[in-house]
Amino acid sequence: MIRQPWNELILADEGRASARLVQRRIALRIRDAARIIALPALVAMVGGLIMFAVSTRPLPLGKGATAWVIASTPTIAFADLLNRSDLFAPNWWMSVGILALVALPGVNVTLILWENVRLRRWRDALAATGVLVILAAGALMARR
Amino acid sequence: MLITWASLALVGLAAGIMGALLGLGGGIFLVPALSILFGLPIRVAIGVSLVGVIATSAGVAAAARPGGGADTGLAMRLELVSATGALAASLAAGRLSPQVLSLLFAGIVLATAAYTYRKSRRARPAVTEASVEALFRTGYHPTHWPAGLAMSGLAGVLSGLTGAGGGFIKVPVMYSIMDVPLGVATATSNFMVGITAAASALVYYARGDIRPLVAVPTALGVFVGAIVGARLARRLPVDTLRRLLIGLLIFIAAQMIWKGVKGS
Repeated sequence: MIRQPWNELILADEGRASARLVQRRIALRIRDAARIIALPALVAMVGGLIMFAVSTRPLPLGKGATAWVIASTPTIAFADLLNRSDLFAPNWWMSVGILALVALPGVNVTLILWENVRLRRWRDALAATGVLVILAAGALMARR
Repeated sequence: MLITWASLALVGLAAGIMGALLGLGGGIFLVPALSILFGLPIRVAIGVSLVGVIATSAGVAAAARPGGGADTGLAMRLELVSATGALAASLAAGRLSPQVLSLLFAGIVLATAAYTYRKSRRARPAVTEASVEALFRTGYHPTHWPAGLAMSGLAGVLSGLTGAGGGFIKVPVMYSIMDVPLGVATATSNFMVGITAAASALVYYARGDIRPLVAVPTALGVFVGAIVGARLARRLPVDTLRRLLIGLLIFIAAQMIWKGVKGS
């Protein structure tokens, strides 16, 4: 090729375009990696919550909390990576985690209510219903 | 970013350990630490503390000794007023100025210091099989319900306003006033503080006072710290540590008063 000033410019443009393409490919790989990490964490969290919700022990809070810790720790550790993904931004992910944690006592009260209905302890069941109503009122006020 | 999160988790860990050594939640140390060291607005610090209280309540419930759990019937009855108080207070907290909240928190810290001082002066009885059995004895009947309900309501209000768990009110009320065995009172109080905190946490969350990126690493630290602290409490000279922590509590109260008066 005859080296002329306009050819140099074309070559430089191609170089920049190629660099942008490489950057884009790296960004896509990072996004894919973030999804690979985030999905098992989501599954662990939801699975943990279901596991503890179906438990028949009177105080199953610990299982839910442990699942929460297991799910949250890798999210924080890989938060920088997740931050580059639109779908699994740490702020969104951690908001879900917080709401799940705040819901834990409510689920526990529901289980206590069920236990009391099963054992026909109606006064305790009524008190548990009252607590659930208060928690639900809090959730409704929060929605406003 | 990771360094900030690691620092938040470490602060949570330290607050959780110190809270467990004092027999309290981590909130009493967490709120001033986030407010003074990290410069977070006091409402955000309180919101984060509430998330930490829920995590700690859940974590410690998991580690409870078999057969030594909470009295859920008693907890549900007391929670009716406690959760209502917390909900009302969390709504009111949105209208109070940060200065008033700082001063209220300073009051709670001073009350905690006085409670810890009284507790450290009491002679600790030798741990025998019979004494452990007495701690968790069954067949008791709680008494003085009106006083118990009123004090539980107050604990809920304070929790909603300051982000503290309120265990330092609930345990003595159940034990000294309602004649509930100490072990059962402690387990029941720990179970209750999570529900009380959940009632007000939703309001703080909706108001934008719970910032997920701050709350999650801090709550994780408090959760681990509370479990580590509870184990350390059995091995360390807790009475000496408590006296040292009373000094720290008074220092924290002075800082919060200064913050409240200065208005920043």
